[in-house]
Amino acid sequence: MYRPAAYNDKLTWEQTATTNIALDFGLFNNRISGSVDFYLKKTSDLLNDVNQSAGTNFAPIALANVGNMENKGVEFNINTQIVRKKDLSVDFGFNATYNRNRITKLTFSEDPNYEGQRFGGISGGTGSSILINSVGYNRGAFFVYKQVYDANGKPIDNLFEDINRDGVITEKDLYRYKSGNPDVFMGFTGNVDYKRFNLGFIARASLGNYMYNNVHSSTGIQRNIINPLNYLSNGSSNVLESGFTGSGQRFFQSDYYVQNASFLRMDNINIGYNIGKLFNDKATLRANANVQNAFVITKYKGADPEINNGIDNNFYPRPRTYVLGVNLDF
Amino acid sequence: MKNIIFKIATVGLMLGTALISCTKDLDLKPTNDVTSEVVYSTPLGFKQSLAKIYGSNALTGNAGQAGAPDVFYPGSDEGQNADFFRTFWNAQELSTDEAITSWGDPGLPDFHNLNTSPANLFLHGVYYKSLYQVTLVNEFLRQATDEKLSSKGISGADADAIRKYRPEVRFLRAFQYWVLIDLFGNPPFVTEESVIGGPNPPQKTRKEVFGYIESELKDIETTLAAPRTNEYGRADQAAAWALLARLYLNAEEYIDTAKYTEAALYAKKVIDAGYSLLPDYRHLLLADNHLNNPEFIWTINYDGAKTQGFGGTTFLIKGGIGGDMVSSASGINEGWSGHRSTKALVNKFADPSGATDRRAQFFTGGQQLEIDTVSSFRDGYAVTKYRNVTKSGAPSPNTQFSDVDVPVFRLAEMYLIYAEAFKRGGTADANLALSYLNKLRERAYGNTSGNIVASDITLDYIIDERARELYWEGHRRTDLVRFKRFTEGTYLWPWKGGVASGTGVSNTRKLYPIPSADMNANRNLVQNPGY
Repeated sequence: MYRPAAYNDKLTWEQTATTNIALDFGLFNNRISGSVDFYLKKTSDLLNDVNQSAGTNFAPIALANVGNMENKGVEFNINTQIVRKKDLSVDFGFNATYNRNRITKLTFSEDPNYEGQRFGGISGGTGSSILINSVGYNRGAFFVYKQVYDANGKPIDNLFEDINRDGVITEKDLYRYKSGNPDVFMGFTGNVDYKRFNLGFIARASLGNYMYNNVHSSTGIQRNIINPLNYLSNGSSNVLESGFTGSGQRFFQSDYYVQNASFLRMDNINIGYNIGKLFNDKATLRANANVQNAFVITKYKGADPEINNGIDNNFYPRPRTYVLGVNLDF
Repeated sequence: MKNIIFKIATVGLMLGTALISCTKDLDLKPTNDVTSEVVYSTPLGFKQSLAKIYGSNALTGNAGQAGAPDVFYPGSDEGQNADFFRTFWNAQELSTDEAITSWGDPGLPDFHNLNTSPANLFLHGVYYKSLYQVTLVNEFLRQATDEKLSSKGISGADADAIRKYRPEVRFLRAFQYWVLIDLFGNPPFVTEESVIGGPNPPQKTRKEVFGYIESELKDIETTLAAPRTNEYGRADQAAAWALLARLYLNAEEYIDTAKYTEAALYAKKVIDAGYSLLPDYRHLLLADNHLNNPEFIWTINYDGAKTQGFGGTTFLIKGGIGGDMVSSASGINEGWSGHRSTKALVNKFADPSGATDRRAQFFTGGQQLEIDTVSSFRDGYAVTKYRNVTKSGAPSPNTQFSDVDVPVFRLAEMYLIYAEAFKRGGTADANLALSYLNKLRERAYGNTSGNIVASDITLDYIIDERARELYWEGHRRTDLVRFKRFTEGTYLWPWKGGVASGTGVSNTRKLYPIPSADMNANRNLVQNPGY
């Protein structure tokens, strides 16, 4: 059987125009060097998967040019050579980026009342998508109901704020809340050489990024655990905090599940020792130890705060790797 | 200096060449896939495209059970949400007195609770699957014009064969538009005049689309193959008449104008086209129901080897097995403990054991009639109407997927339409109406002991007889709406509206909501009232 695939004959390249003002600097004989860079990026004909009007294509979702986006921000980096002595040298580097993005146009509709293009499907829900691109907002903002909490700060099952004040909770009460994109990225590197020892690290931080915890929302509900077919399913212990029964469908889209996923991650720490020459100078021996993904500091309650697009749904965990090495060079 | 100029010139030339050739290189035809020019250049290509249009009724996609669904949206599951008959059946049966399910998948209990939302994934399934088939048909018709055929050098008998496909696919499109107006009211409207990737389609009213279906069917009723002369499973004139009969029977609901005379007329055309009832009612929905079956008018065909998927009759059989039932008795390898009946259906039979009326096919061992807990499979009698065994009782060779075909139209429905159209004031013959109803009774009872007399023909009798004859075949919601018993508080069944004893709901629930994904994509659509 031949099946036609969906296509879009109007698809064009995504284009980005960038304006920068930058300053590079070096002080004290380049012992301190760095740069500051202000940028403005305007991207047009942004590509994304979008809902197709039923009857106009061979699939409900296809790739299209969805609109224009503006990114403004500043990048800063500094590298320092703090100590330079015969037996000791210490280097430290730091960089940071602040970025603000806004969608400036959506191609589908000039209508100012157009809510935007929804995307980002979640599991457990009923085809609900959790993200939205709307003009004037962050790319991929969470499109959610505003959870109502009781006096003790516990969310009240199936109670949401009636944002448009029309007396009923409908899809019109969804609002745009945060996004999976961070406001600030930071990177840290450090290196210390002392005699034959060497110690180094690389760390990264991301601030202001939020995450929709789909593991909590799809498994941390009573209905999932105490299954109607009378067997127990695995569930998230989040059910003890939220107490959600899982009745209705709107709870999937509660902002309760959008959690702050800012983090600091120690990507790598390594330590090395150069034992020196052996066998009448015929060989050199070095030993080193190295930890990848050493630790993460975050308030995020799921397995990993660093997941692209801001939806945490059965993410395959990043391993922590320990490597011990001995190098013998002849 | 000269040297430098020469170098610059050379580099310039090279760049120029690279740019020119690069632009040309971007103008490529795909080499890794088949394009429409290739597909629609041979008669075989047309037949394979036709096969896809028919096949999209029985299959979820092009990679067997899972892997390449025809329609996919975030959060959906190919088995649950991308099969036409499964999602259609949920909408038509789970919402009624005939069926209830124990499964709690989000959105599924909402059918019986008469409380579906625009986000419902099962409704997304039937809506997108219907419009998907419409889109396939439109593309086929754009490619199968006389000019295109001759430009590709297809002529003579080959071209004639392809011309014969055209009314068939138009029938399939008309059928899907019937599904859309019945479930959703006012669908978006596209024809072969529309283009792929074109502007958002306009929304047409139920009345406008009713008119379109009617004119399409009348236009093709002479060019389709004569009744019972096409390949099994393909549409012929009788299929178009049967759809017209069903459309006219519901005209009062769809367009506020009664068309009972027309309903009786077209039902009669089918009845007189050489069909007869299969002698044993219990053979209707078995694995070999495609063989020697004079009753089926148009079917969706399933084959355990060739149409594997978790929809269609595989879903109906497996989903209906649980409790003390032995799945091998139904010729299948497992049960999913899902759908059962309510007592509102069971009690329509004088004797649910089936000893009197053979149409009563319930499994009662270990089951209770009352539904105390919706999620418990043992509450409510199970239904054994669909079984993957042959008439001789042998299991089908493939026990993982069903061989049972679904009759979308069968003769018994035409008898019932004729009688109802007569009763509702259409021009029809009273004696014929009575004899048709008695044919169904005689088959059900095995003799004339269940026969009725003219004075027994009431609307109450007809709606109940429709339940007894056609239960679980995808008719019930439409029937209850037409008899004003679907949302009204005058007729209740267990757990109607989410209440154990049943309750009426707002009459806006007669229509389902237009799925939110399309509301989001197509700015021309206006949601049905109440959603």
